[in-house]
Amino acid sequence: MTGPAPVVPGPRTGPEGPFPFRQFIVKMHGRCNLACTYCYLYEGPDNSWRDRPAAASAAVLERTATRIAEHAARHALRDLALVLHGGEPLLAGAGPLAAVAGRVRELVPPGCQVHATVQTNATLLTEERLAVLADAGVRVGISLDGGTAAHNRRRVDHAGRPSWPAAARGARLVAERFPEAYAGLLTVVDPTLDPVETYESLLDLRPPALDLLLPHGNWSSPPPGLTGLRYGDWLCAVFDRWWAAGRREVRVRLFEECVALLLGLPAATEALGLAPFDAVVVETDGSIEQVDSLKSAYPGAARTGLDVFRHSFDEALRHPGVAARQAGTASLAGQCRACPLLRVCGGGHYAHRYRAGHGFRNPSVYCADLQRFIRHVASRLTAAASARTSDGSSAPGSSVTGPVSAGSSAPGSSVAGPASAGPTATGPASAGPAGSAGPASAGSASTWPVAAGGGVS
Amino acid sequence: LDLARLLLLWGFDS
Repeated sequence: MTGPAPVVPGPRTGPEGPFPFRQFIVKMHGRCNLACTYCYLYEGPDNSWRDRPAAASAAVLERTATRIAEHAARHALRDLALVLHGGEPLLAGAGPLAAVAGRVRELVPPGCQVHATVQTNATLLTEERLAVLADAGVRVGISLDGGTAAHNRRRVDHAGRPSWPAAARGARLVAERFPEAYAGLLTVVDPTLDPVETYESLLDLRPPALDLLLPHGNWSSPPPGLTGLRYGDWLCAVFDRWWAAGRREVRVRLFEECVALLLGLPAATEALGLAPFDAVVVETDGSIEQVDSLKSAYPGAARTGLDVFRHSFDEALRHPGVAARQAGTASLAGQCRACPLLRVCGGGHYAHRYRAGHGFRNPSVYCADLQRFIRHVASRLTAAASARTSDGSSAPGSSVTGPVSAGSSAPGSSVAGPASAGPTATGPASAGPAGSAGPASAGSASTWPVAAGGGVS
Repeated sequence: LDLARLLLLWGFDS
């Protein structure tokens, strides 16, 4: 049994980077008991999981914990996130998950707080397992696409049977019996579903937080149904329902980070902004990789060639793929650097920029949808800022200057979304300034030349 | 905008 890692000097970590890793995603199990039809990991182009052990060995986990502690010491981290992931991490059992969290906490220097979560499909959650996780200070994030069987029709097991009954049971168990361990819900946007109905069904599961993830896709393998502004409209409809609720019913990461970025505050999401990315993955065989979402681009996109037995995480910081995600605007396409939404959009999710033969130096395949969404949120913020304070007075310093052509009523992009009959856009803040036909409206698209030579791996 | 008058880091999108 070794003690906390000694503090030794490391490479520079100033504002110019490299920025140390602070989020460590540990693949506890490389397989999944579900076979979701849209899974980018098992249905995507990268099949590297087939050649790896199903579960991480004790040796891999011990070495990983040691490397995390070494990195925390070298960079004097005060906080780090330990994400126990998969596949389905609970296939490894709750005990091993708790043990890894405990071991990392043992090894990091005093004063470094370890925030541990497990991301699960919830089908294997039981009262006993949740008690083990909660006692170990491991919070539980759940992946679900809505709060009904219909919303989760694509989340099936290997025999094609719906996962919803078991997942719903697990999710309700967390909400009712272990609310302090409930981290939140991750939902992949399905634009064929009613946005407001989907959101409200998720509220029924009483999550403390929620995030809405655009399905992984890129210019060479576009996401499903990427026509018009379906994804942007879908997000706008949910935003209006959330914004006008009269109280904050749930934290919605994408929405709140967009507000933060619009107001010039620091933000925390891969989906938006220019913050340097600081997450790293350890696979079940000990390989150090970039995050799984890159595997949706092409086989080997996440590979670094490093492993925890022979390499430190500092060596991974020097990998060109990692460096590109910490380079801010330098790794963006020219179109993005010239875009007025740059500091908010940040080029969108890195994986969504890929184009075969041209790497990642492209705008997001969701460019138009992101523009639609960001301008919509800006218009709602602008309207709110022009309103009165809670004591009835107008708010000095709350006037907004500059163009407000937020596109919030662009033809062909109704806020309610194609399938919605829900109560969208009914609150006082939803009567935003009438936009011009937004820049992303039909008929105003232009074709940009493709920037070549942007590959990073 | 005056934020007081007008409302705010893990980035891995767990």
